[in-house]
Amino acid sequence: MNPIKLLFLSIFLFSGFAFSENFIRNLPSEQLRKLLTPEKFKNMDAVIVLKENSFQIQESSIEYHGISLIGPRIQKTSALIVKLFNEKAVQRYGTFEFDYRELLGNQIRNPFEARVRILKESGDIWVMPKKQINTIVSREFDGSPIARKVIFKIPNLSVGDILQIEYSFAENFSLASSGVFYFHDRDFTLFSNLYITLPAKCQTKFTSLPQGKIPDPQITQVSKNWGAGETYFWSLQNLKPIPDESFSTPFTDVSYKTAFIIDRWDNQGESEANWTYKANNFYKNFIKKDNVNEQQLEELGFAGMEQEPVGRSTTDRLYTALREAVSLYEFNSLYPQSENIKSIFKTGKGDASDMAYIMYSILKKWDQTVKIAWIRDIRQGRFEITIPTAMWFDRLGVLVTIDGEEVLYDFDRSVPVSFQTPWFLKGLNVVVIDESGYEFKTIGTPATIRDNIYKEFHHLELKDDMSIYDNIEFTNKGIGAEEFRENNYGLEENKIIEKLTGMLTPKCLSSVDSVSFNNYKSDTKVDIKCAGHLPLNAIEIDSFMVFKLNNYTFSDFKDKIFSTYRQNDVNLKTPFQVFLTWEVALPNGYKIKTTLENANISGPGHAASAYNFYSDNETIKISCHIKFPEIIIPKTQFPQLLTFLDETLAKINQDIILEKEKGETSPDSH
Amino acid sequence: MKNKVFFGLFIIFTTGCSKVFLNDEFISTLSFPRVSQNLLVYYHRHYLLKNNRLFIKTHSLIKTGGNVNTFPEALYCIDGSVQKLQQYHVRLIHQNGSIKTFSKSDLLRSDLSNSQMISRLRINFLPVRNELQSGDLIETITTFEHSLPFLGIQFTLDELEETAKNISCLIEIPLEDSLNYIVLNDTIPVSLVKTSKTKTYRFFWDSYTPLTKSGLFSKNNSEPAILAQVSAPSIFPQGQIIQKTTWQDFGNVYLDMIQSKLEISHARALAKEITKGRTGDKEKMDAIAEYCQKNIRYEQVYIDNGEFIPNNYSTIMSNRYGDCKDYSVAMYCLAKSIGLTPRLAMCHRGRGFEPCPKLPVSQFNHIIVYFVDKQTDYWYDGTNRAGQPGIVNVDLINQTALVLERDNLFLAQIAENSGNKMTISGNLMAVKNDIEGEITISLSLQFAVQFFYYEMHFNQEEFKDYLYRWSRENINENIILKDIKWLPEKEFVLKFSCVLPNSVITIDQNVYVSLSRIFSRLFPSDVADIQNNPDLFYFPYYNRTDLSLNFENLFQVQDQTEPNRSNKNFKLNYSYDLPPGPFNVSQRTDFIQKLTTVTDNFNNNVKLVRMGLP
Repeated sequence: MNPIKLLFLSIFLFSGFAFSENFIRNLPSEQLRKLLTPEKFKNMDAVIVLKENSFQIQESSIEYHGISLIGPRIQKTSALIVKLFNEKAVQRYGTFEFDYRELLGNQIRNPFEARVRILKESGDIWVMPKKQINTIVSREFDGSPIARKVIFKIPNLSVGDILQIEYSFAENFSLASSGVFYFHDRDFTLFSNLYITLPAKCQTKFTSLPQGKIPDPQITQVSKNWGAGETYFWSLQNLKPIPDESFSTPFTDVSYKTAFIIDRWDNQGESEANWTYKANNFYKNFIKKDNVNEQQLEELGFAGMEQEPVGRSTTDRLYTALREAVSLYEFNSLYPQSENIKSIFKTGKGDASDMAYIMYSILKKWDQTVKIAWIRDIRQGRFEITIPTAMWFDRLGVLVTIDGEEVLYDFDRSVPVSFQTPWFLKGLNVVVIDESGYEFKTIGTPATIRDNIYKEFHHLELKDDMSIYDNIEFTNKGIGAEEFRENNYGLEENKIIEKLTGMLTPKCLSSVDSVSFNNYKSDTKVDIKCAGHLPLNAIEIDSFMVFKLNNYTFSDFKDKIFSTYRQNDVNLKTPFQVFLTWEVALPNGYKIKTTLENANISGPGHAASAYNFYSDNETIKISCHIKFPEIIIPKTQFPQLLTFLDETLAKINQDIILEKEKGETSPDSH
Repeated sequence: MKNKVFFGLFIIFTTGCSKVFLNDEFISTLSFPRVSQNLLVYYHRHYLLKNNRLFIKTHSLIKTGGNVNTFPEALYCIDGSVQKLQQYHVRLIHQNGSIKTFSKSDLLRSDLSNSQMISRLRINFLPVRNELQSGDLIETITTFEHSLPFLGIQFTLDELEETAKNISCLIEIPLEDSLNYIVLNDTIPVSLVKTSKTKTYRFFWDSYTPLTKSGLFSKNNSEPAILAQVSAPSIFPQGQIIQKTTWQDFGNVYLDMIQSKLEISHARALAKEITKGRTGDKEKMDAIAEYCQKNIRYEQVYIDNGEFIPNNYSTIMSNRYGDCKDYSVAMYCLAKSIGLTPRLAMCHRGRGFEPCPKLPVSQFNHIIVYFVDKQTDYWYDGTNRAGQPGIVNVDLINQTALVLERDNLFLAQIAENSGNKMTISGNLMAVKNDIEGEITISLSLQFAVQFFYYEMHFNQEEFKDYLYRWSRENINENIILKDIKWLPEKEFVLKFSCVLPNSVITIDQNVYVSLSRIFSRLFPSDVADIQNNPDLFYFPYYNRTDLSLNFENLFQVQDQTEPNRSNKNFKLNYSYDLPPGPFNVSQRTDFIQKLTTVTDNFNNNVKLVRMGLP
């Protein structure tokens, strides 16, 4: 629909009530309200009638102790009108929370304003008193606030209400050269509007994605002064919800979005809305700064290396030494402490970008072919080449060319200390930067099921009292190993054991007698050994003994992915496979009663499981190999995926029946 | 060793009061075993009642282990409107002898308010890990003032969370006041030291190792603990010195504190409107409870002392949100305004907790309303939000409640409702090793509360998801459900078609069926651990169940050749009624006997034959 028509339509729909002096948007008309019913929006907690964001860079003047301070200011305004269908929505929308920095403390406060009103089903309108808008100091240092939070509960809110929240926030003496805005939300959205107003004479590049889905903006000239230039307006309708589901594509990848990048602040100057400028600017300001000195190299064990040949093994050792020298922060910044490497060595703490910069500096010192890489972690989403901004990326990596092979070293906490390329870097697109500029690179090829393997081996002993003792070995490679490292980074051994024990009981084992694990920080695999009794004993029926197998990995995966109602495609993040193996020593005097049939089961996305059963006089061996070679499984095939999981589990959970051999009386294991 | 520590403490408190930190001589008496992990080598808690104020000082000494990177990023403490941080001192003693000290002004602060809870709580933290090396000592002293001393003193070793040595708890009160105390889950002696103005009770432990996490049937407060209450005119004004504070004193103080919140006169008009057309007292009380549940949403917003003190009635009704205290105040005021006789009641939410009623020390985390009608007790919990009024959720079954009434307070039990029942009926068929068919589950009274809540809370599809997961948690972990329907009336009724994979055992021509295979999550299959559990405290499963299953294609072996065998298909009916707990020693024995009987019946495999369909 033509944007102008849309604008008028939205005004028409919202014009049913008298204009309010304080609120920038009117409440929905009665005609529209009649359409907003749970029957029309099945299985939804709420529907967003209007989601509107306005972003403006303007000039502002602030009076401070008799002096007028003039400078740029970022002004953000937001409006939300939402109809609530159930208590869960009331709970979710019933709290307002907004954090912001306060760089100048109480000296010059960033202004914040909010307005809230509720349209009840009866037609009454209730406006929240301003005194109930609560702002607190969320962080302070030495008595001075450095961050504030606006947090309050919205009173008088019930199912069936239409809630309107508007707020405006200004960040003094701030500029932004780029921004990305998302049109979708967690709930269905009828109208999603975006206004961007930039200073006059700014030359700006706008990009909307996906291409072809978002119409061109409506442009209006507000003023020719620097402080207020042209306003660009976009409006989308009827956007499906992107709920927070397990195994789903990140919101930022799915949502429609529009980005702005200021190319030139005035008619002169260098063009900035391009990767070349961003890369050169970053390199100039953050790379080739402070250097690692000889003493630091000596502490790392790499003194006097300039004249030595540096191959893969040395580079790996350097990576390991840096990982062992420093404790990594949980959160990363793209910007390294490149002007003060000494502080990183002194404190023994840094983030991934700090360490990448140090490794880069050292390799540069050794005249190696090395570049800096901007990494956007695929676990957070992908970056868009058509939107050149450093905002996409969360950390630096080091791209080293050794003997013609390129290796990207990443200091993420989940990567083993003895470096191995993790699954989330394989096939990843990165931006590589050096003194000559930038290039896009794809790191190797995407991970396959060979890269991500979960192995679970059970050795079962049937005891005299019919209990079943299980010695389990987990060996995880790839995503399983990386998740373990990330989740347990910095934890003491006893805490990890406590976590593992809690994980295994009571579903996999009734109690855990022992748990141990390898040097997972350094090894590329994670090995865990544990032992305990199964929750269920074997059963004696006449001359037969019956028992079932258990497993953790596949059952846990099924529990996590299960849902009765899938709204978006499944995204497994990476292909993987699971090897489950059981070995059961046959008790003395027993033989296998029925050989279970082998089975192959297939599922959507070429998912497949192969169940094999083998027995001889002494042992039963069962294996089940399950593979998921494709990452995306369309939501329309989700029921088939659940059926595949259930059928495979049903096969694993079959009864194993042993028969007492004639003349034998009591069960003892071999 | 113990004597050395006592002596050391004596030195500190008699001559070292002007010093903040431990002196070197004392530190040298502490043993530092070679361990790779961080170790808490000294932990000292001091409760001081002085000038009508209660101060809580905690003094600890940690020795860092081999890998200092496992030490937390920062030291932290939380303060708020109830416990206010007064003093903070930290001393780092490095291996090389150098020392660095910090104080309250070095703390960074962050407000803890978030979408779940808005309060005055703040986290104060001091980043220290940068300063640490392996083998260093970290000495921390925090002093809080507690604004509600009438709640009593509770010191429990599980607050340490890790192995520790040299643990002491001191309670110092004016000489003229009295202290009553109980040592729980331990038998350590107490020593008493008097001065001209004060007397100090000392409790000491050489070492402590956290207990293994308690199992599902165990009580969860098994750690050694001290409960104490001071009889002091400043806290419990009685006009004369009293020797022993009672629950009545406790209740009176609390009622005085909240008196201004109970704006009964403001509630009259609304109460009349809500109860219009209702005749009996119970019907009126139900109407009030339903109104409050429906019109007030649950939110945790705490004003000063808000964790214990409710908002006033007008604020609650204006906000239309609140927590358990606010719901209870709203119901109380509305009911009282029209002449009903409700009472506020404090209790503890969570069945694994064993309170100690001997001392009037607060062990409560929940407030509800108590009402008697025709000699029957009713308990109204606004946080239920839905369901039958006067019925509380299962986590309050048989919990102790402190019913508050000025000069007529008493301890009561929130008795289990004898009508609680889960009924499962089904028309089923054995298909290979699976069972397929239609099942109906009906849950009544306390068993139904959570379902009414979530049915109100979620949209249809999400509620279906919730029911599916509940079935897998409580009926059979592999159950596959189709066509889920539910009827939320007086009972909560759930109907579905289902497949229960691998629920029967097939051996040759026979099929073996047991309740434990069909309903693998409904009842514990192995009770050996439960029987031998010294901390056995309560039964967490559904304790009263009727099962009625009809297997269309299974027959008893002797019935397979009967001419009218179509009427002889196998029916499995079983009922059980177990006490829910908490159990004392004699009740435990009785419970285990009944449990064993039910378990045997559940595990009994009935031998059948399959006729007709495969």
